[in-house]
Parts: sequence; C-alpha cells; structure tokens
Amino acid sequence: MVGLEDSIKPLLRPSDEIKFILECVLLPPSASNDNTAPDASGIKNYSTLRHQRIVAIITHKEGGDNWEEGSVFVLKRKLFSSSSSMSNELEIHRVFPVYGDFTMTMAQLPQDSNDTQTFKLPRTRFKLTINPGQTLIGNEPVDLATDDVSALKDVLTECRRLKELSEVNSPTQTYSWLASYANNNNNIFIPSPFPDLRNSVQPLYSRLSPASPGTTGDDLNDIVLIRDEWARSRARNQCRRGRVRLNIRLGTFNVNGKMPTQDLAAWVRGSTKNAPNVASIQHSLLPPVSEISPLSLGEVVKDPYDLREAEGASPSLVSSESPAIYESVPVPLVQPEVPTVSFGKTSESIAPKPDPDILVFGFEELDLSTEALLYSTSTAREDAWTVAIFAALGEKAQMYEKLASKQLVGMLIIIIVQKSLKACFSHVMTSSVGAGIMGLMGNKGGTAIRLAFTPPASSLEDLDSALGETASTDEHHHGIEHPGPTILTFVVSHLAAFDDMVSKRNADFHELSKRLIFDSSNLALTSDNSQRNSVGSASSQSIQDTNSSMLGGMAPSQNLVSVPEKFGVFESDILFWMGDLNYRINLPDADVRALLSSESWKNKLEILKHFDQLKTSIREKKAFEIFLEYDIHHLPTYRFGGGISTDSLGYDTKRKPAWTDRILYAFSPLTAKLEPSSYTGHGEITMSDHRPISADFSVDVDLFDKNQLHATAANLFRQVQGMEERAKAKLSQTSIDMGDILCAQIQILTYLRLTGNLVRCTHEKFLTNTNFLFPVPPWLSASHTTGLLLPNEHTEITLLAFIDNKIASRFNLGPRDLNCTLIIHTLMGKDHFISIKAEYQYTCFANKLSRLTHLPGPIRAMKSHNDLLGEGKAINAPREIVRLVNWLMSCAHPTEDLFMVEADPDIVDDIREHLDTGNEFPYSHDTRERSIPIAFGAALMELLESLPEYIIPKELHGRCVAVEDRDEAFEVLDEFPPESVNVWISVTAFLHYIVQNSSSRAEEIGMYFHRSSSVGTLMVFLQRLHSHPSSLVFFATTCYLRQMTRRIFALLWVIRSLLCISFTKSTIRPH
Amino acid sequence: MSKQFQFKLVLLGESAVGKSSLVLRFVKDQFDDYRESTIGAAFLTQTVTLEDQTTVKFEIWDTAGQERYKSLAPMYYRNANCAVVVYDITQSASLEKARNWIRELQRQADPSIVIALCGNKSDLSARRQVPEEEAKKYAEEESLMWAETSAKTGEGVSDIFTAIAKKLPLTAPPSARAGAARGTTGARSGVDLNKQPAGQNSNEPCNC
Repeated sequence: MVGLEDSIKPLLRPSDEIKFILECVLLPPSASNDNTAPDASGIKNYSTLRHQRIVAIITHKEGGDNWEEGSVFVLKRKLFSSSSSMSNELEIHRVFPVYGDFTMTMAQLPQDSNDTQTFKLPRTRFKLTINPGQTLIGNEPVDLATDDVSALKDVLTECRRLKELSEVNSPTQTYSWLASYANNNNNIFIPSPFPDLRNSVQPLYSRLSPASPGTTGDDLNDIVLIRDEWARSRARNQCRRGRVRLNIRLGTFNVNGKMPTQDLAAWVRGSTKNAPNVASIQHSLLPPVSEISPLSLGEVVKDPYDLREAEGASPSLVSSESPAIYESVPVPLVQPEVPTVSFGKTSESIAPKPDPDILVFGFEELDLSTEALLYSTSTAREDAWTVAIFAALGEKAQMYEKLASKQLVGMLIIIIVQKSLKACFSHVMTSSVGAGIMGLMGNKGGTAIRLAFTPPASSLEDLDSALGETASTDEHHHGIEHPGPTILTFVVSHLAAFDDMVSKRNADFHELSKRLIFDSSNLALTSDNSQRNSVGSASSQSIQDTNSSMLGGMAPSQNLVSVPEKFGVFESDILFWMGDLNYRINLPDADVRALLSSESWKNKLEILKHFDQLKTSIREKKAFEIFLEYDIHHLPTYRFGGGISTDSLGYDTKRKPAWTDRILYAFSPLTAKLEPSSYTGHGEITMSDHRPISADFSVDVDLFDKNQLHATAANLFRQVQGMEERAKAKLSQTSIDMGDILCAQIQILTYLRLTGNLVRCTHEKFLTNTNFLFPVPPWLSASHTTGLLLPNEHTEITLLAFIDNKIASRFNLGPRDLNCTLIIHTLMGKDHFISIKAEYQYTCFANKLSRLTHLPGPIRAMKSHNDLLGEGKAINAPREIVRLVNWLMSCAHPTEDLFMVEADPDIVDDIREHLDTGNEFPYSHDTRERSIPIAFGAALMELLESLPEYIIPKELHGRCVAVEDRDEAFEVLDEFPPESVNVWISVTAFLHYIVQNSSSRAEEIGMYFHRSSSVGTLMVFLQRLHSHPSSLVFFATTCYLRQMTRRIFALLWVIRSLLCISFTKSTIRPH
Repeated sequence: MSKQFQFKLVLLGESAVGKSSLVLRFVKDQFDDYRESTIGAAFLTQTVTLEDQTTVKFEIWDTAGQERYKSLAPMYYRNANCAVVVYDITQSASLEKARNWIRELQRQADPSIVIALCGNKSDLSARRQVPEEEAKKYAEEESLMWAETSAKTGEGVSDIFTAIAKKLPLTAPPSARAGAARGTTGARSGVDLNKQPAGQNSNEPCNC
C-alpha cells in the first residue's frame, strides 16, 4: 500500500493530498450493462495486469480547512516498458470530480464459479461502480471489482464526506485544480458552475495565487484561471450582437405587521409629479396621491425625470405617448455598437421615464403574529399587498401581471412583469432561509427569486432593421437562433436588529449568501400555461445548457435537460439585494438628530453616510463586499413613532434614526450593464414605523446566440490549451527613466510593450501574468496586471507614478532616490526585470507643521533632515501658509468667487512649485484675472488638507466644539501648540477678512471648507485619474478622502464657533 | 521502488559566463552561439534519474548576471536547495565574482545549501586564464563541488547536475523535501495514510 502511495505521489501536485487508495480490477463494460456473467474467456482477458486499476481519493484544500474539493482518480500501470509485469509506474487514467451527480456505489458480485477461479478471489467480492453523473459528457461509468473490503469502506466513506462537502460548498466550487491533470490520455470534464459574481466583479489578478520572485506559486492553477477568464470574456465580446434594455423598479418596505391602508402609488410607480400622463392618473379610480406626510423624506431627492433631462441621457427608444406603441415594442433597444440607430429621434431629451419592465417588491414584518413566526400558510397578507400594488399601478395595472412570489414568515418578495414580456422569463426559482431565533426561525432571514430573461423575438427583428438590413426571410436573425438568457437574482432580507449587532448582521449576510440556494428541481410554476412563442420555448431549454454556454463553454455540455442543479445567489449576471438590513449610524443619538434637524448643514447626509454601518461594513470588506448602492439623498427611513414620543422630524426618540432599509446591487460587467437612475424614500407613506424606499435601474442585457457563444468559447479554449508549455514574452524596454516625481502630480510614464517572440517561433503562444510581484512601491502602479497574449498580440503596460500626501509625508526629507525594479512574471517561464529610475522632489505639502516651522529656507534646497533648524530656533508660522495668506490678503481685486469655483489646476501647480522652490510668485497683486486669486485659495486649501495631522490637536476637538463665547475660545486657543495657533489665526483671520469684504456669508465659506475637501477635491483627483484608474491610486484617494472628512468635520465646527467671535487683525501674533 | 525528489536550484555568476547556455544544454541539450543577455530570471525544470531509479527533479532559476540586478538575487536563492556558481575559465575576474557569490550564499542562503563551483567554456582552454588547480584548491578549501564544463560541447554538463543530485540529502521523506523546495506551497501537508477521516464509522452502510 505504501508502495502505491509513493507511486502516485509524484503524479500529484504538492497541494493535493492522497486520502485513500484501493486496488481493483476493471470489469468489462458488458458486465455492467446486463447481469449475465461474461464468458470465461472475456473475464480471463480482464484478469491480467493490464486491467489492474488503482482508485485513489485525492483532495485539494485551499484557504484553510473550510474549503476542500475531492476527486476520485483511477490510475493504471504504465505498460510500455518491456517488463510490464513489474512496472511500478502509474499513470492517471480517469479523473472524477466528486461533484453534482457523482456517485460511487458498491454491490456484491454474484458467486460465479468461473469468476472465482479466474480471479482467484476469496469468497466476498464487490463490484464498485463510479458514475460521474449526468453532468459529464463522454465519460462513461466505470465498473471495478475488488476484494479489499476495509479499503473499500474507507473509500466509500470518504467519498460520501466529500460529496456532502461539495453540496454545502457548491456555489464556490470550481475544481479548476483538476485541470492540470488533464491530458490527451484522460478525458477530464471540469464541472464549471455558473460564474460567481464575487469573482467576476473582482479583478483577475486578485484571484491568482500569491507568488514572489524565485517561488513559482501555483502557476498551473493561475494558468487555468487566466485562460478561462480570457476565453469567457473574449467569446462574450465576440458574440454580443447588441444589448436590450430592461427597466427595473425595486422597492422594499418594512410594514410592521400593518395591512395596506394608504395609496402606495408613490412607492410603486415613483414620483408622479410632472408625469406627462398626469391627466390619466386623475381619471383613475384611485384617489390622487395626497400630501399626507407631515415629513419631507424626499428633501434632496431630485425628480427622476429631472435627473434624466439634466443628464440629457434618455436612451429609451420608445415613445410612451401611446401605450399601444409601447406594448408593441416592449423592450427598447440599445445598440452602443451601432451608432447610426436612432429610434428615439423623437425628442429624446423630453422622453418621459419608461414604464418599468420588471417590478420587484420586498416586504418585511408582513405578519407579526406569534403563530406566523413558526409557520405560515396563509397568503391573505400577500394577496392584500398584491392588490394594493396593482391598485397603485392605476391604469397601468392592466399592462402587468405577477410572475412569482415567495414568502417566509414576515418576508415576502413579489415580482411583477409586463404581460407582453412574460414569455421572456423562464427558470423562475425561489428560495428562502430563516436566520432568526436559533439561526433558523423566519423572523429574520431572506427570501429570493432567480429567473432567466431571454430577449423577445421582436427585439431581434428590431435589431435587424436597426442595423439597416432588410428583415431576413429565414428565421436566422443575424444568427441569433438561440438567444441566450441573462440571469437575474433578487433577494429580500431582514437582518438582525439593534445598534450594536453589526457583526450579527454581517454574519447574517454571509449565512444567507451561503444558504439561499435555488434548486432547479423545483422550478416555480409560472401561472402562464399557454403556449409560448418560439423564442420563449427556445429559452425554456434546460438551464444547465444556458449556464454552460454563458460560462464560455469551458466544457461541452449538451443533453442536460432535466438534470437538477443548485445555484447560489451569486451565480447570476445581475443580483439585487434589498430589505430591512437594519444597519444603523455610528454616531451618538444626539448628533444624528442634531445633524438631521439642522438647516445649515446642507451636506449632513454626507456626514451621516460616512458613519453608516453598512457603508462601513462594505468598505471594510466585512459584508456586502461586491455590492454597490446608489447615492442616498433621502432621510433615514427608521424609526417613526405612531403616537409615541417623537422628535421634531417625527423620529421615535427611543430609536436612533437610521437607513435600515436599503437596495443594493451587483452585476457582472462582462455580461450586463446596469445604471441606477433613482433611489428614493417615500415619506408620504406613513402607515408603518419604517418608510418604504424604491430604486430604478436600467439594465442592458446582452443579445447573443448561446450556441454561437458556446462554440466560440470552445474554439478559443482549444486555441490556448497547453500554451503554457511554450510561454515566452518579450518586453520593449528593460529600463525606464521616470525623471522627477512630484507630490500630487500624476506622471504617465513610458508605455511598456509586451510582445511575443515571433522571430524565432511563429506558432508560439504565451500566457503572461504581469503580476507585480515584489514590494510594490507605494507611488507606482501599473495598468493591466494580468493577461493572456496570443502569438501576434502585444499589450501596452502603462506605469503610473503618483505620490499622494500620505506618501509625500514619508518621503519629504527622506532619500530622493526612488529607483526600483519591477518584475513581470510569465507563467511557467521567465521573470522579466524592468529597472525604474526616479527621483523624488521634496515639497512643503504633506509635512507636519512643526517641520515646516523648522525649515531654514525653501524645502527644495534641503539636503536631508540634518538641515532642519535646531530646537528653539523655529520660525513662528510656516512661511508657505503665510505667503499664501498674505498674497490673498493683499490682492487688489479680490473675487467673490474665492473658494466657490474650481481653480485652474495648472495655476495651482505653478503656485505649489513656487512655494517649494521659494521663488517669488509670478502673479501681480493687482491682477484682474479672477482665476489667480481662486488658484491661490485652492492652493491654500490643498496645503491645509495635506497636513498629516490636525491643525487643532485632536484632544482639543471636544472643547472647541463646546466653545460658547469669546473668552472660552481664547482659552482653548492658548492651549494650541505655537505653530498651530499661528496657522489657525492666520487662516481664520483671513476668512474673517474676506467674509467682511464680500457679500458671501461665513456659512458658505465654512461649507466650502467641507465641500471642497470631501467632494470638490476628490472630483479634481478623480477627473485627473479617470483615464488611468488603478487600484493603487484609487485606494490612495479613498484613504485621503476618509481622513479629510473627519478632520474637516472638526475644523468646520471650530470655524463656526470662531467666526461668531469678532476677530481683529491684532490678534495675530507677530511672525 | 522508485522515489522522486524535487529541489530548487539557482544559477549565479557574472554576466556572460554562460549560465543560460549551461541550463539550455542541460534542459534541452541545445546550444546557441549568440544568446542575448538574460534580463530577469528564467524558470525551467529538468529531471535526473540516478542509478537506483531515484529521480531528482530540478526547479531551476537561471538569474541575470548583470551587476545592477544583484540586489534581486536573494529572492531567487531564498529556499534554494542547491546553487551552481558559474565562472568563465577565460576570464579570471569571473572567478572573483564567483567567490563573492559563494561568500554571499554561505552567509545568507539556507545553511544546508549544496554549492557547486562550475568553470564554464572548457572548450576555449587555449585562452584559459583560470588554472584548474587554482579553482579546485579554492573549492576544496570551501568544501564545494567543482567541475569544468562546456555548454557548447556539452562536456561535463550533465555530470555536474547528476553529481549535485547525488549529493543532495535523498534520505528525507519525498513529500517533505518537495514541499521545502517549493517554498510557499511547502506549508501544505504531506500524506498520512493512517489518518482516519473524522466521524468515520465503519459500520455504516457502504453506499454513497
């Protein structure tokens, strides 16, 4: 036995482990088909060494013990050597992933005298059948015989364990590790589950194995990942014939056990103000939407129509003046690839919001009765709410019908679709999971619906005509004979309550994402039993077929109809997750209420959002990592009192207001496009202690032929299979001189060209994984970190140098030399070195105030730390800040727009350069050019923002905020460190000065200081960075933003306090 | 009973002494008169079979010899089981460089590393600058393996690699050794056939 293990081990990769081994004999295929014993001669042939087989259970573990995948290998002895009988060498014959319908069964073999003689086996002899399951193509079951009962038991037990494991983990399993065992001799099928959204939204490089120079990592696995990604995305992009737009409206409402007693139109249909068909609404049987709310939840919410008009982007191709036309062309088309198409030439800009194609409503606390907690069969409440929704749809109600719903105790999800589109929806599956009391009860948990949308035939015809071609007489609409579907999943969940239960909510999310499983064996019955049109029926083929083709045809799979399969929520193209997620705001109750009721804090929601627990959890990757949320412009939706004590805004005084109700989304950028267009709270619906929210999305789904996609992917896959054997790459340069690197200036550097070595070997293909392997310098980033190149292809790698304030504060007065070597790794091949030369230029930005006051002169002239002034020799205030303030104060023609408009970045950079070098500003004090003082203002802001520490020491923030009068303010001021107090006085005195000399109010200036740091500056950064986004830069920007918001928040309070005090210039201490 | 071992081997030495040619000869039995200078580090594998049927698989990292990449070398000889330090017998300065590399390896690399000193370009003995005796004596002092090779003719190339294979500690359990050679992946455990899966109950019926 140990000998066998040693023979198998060399065939395996080190990451894979042998669990059990069993020696067997291959039974002839006939023996399995009919029970009649094969004739003696046949058996005899099978008794030789040629038919010996070794069954081995091999497992692969990753990321700790929780993630394990199992496989059964059937090995045989190598027979080519002359002494075949003595060969110890084994080869892998078959590989079976323990997955899906895989089974391994045993049966006692009949006691045939012939057999007994031939096999020379003892009495008990077992037949072992390994059946790969129906998901496997061209992989017949294998029948083996063995007499080793104890080993057989071990193998079977282990198989059962692995199978259970695979059922638990199925959404995350890939079995990609088996790919490296694939060769021509054995036909391995890698079961490829539907691409997981959690993967498809994440950059490829982040999924590769950790590697470093001199250590190859798991290159084989990485190759599989890169190859799959390449084939999948290339096939999809080649086969996409256009896109079809779906308008989806979602809403969620915690109804607190109430029955519908109010008109839900605002929630169900969105704002009806300015709607073009307002007249028809008035004619409807329902009372018009009344202004019943004492509150204005939609304070900052723009009317969605306005939004559309403002953006000038109404890609809807449908004129909704006539509902008849609308119904005849149910799905507006979008063809980004065909710019000549213009269905919407009839005044696009004033096109009203199209009616949603899909309406999805989630409810929580539908039923609060005790018995409902345990078990609920009644659909009375669901029916009541459904009726209310259709009533709210008014005259449009006739256009819609309910497609599916799923209730779990208090949670309910209802999907309503346009009747004309109903045939396009198929494979509707539902799932629900309790996560409440004892982790199982349905008072908390989730309920979900998964469906496939296949574009209707009419849209294909429209596409044809849009392409300017005569409608083809045959039924091949541009080859789209079998339109492929897009998978949409909707989850409604109600997570754990209470302020301090964040981690429970996060855990609930993870629990639900694991346990919400859709089982295709109980496809939800769609009430429509009528004949579907041809496209509909095409789309109603097996969902497995759909999946494999959308996956990109990693494995050929046909004839898979009726195989039950399980899908997780992330196995979708588009995923919406909404409900009462119960996340609160991490600020003291009094602060939340003060901010909410404040008139002057125009950006109060920004501040509150910053402390929102859900946003924080997403940011810290604790839950909902891959999800996005549209900007919240509505007030918190929880908790409103019904007669109990409430604050001035109507919020319950016992519960801190929070955005408990949310609508989040995620989508695969490869297969779908999604644009949110509204996100609104509906304060006018007051029946519950929560307010309902709604969101509109336009979703563009791909128009493609799934068979073509499958074929293309299979072709592409064949093209690159095995290419790692000959990996080779060539770089255009091996050294790059980046020159001087300045803080906050982006330098787009040399384009590095990566090309195939075509001179020596024209057929060569290679994989490149340009993973930057070793300590990535914080200031440098590269585009295109992972990829695959064919022989004639090349790619350009853009290197981007960017030093933000955080890095600058480390580099200032440190070594100027930033030279480094980048390493580009070719999988299974070479590490390429690129020497980078760069020199850092010191800047007065991003230094501590105490360092600035110890500078003997301009910072550019400094050699090192040692040039700083000694203790006690410090100057009074940083000369750079004083220079800026002085220039602004002596400006002959101050502009009202100072701090109010965006500055010219070139002038700002020039001012920064003059601050660093100490040279005179080349701008005259009596310039009439408005942009000059504006740029000086911006430079001052940038300098203040770049400080690595608070101007006002953090420990004094509390006292600053509490300041009530002038004397107290001066007391606090006295405790500032000397350099801080002078900066503070210079800046606030200046602010006071310009407030006096202009009509703009102090409040506005104060607002600017907040706005500019959190939004304005960010926008400038993002604008500059937009063309070269990189994770590094993005990360840096985010860090930067987070820091700023907190600091300016504190600063602003103090400015407010101090601006109330009458300052005079005399309070500035002499420099 | 054949056993397979896996070792990480790194090539070091001055630029243009023939490190890449030596590897090319060993791995593909080819020679190329005009080879470009290596900028980076190439990864190749080759298996050597010893008389007792033991197979030794070398994971070879061929590094750049240019001085400016010297600081990157430690990443490549980290976790290496063996190192081949190459000099050019027609350039006495290249032996000096080799000595520096050996000193660095003795200081920084894994203490159990097997080091072979290799005088390449033995086909150019007419232009010899480094006497055999000098290099041999140095190798003995430092207890290194030593040989002269010619990547061009193939002379001594496979011999030196086979000699290294023999000198490596082939007594360690294969899985552990292979793990060590693979660095990061080495953390994964080997096989324990005696291990029983948790919760196994042999009385359970045998149907999956």
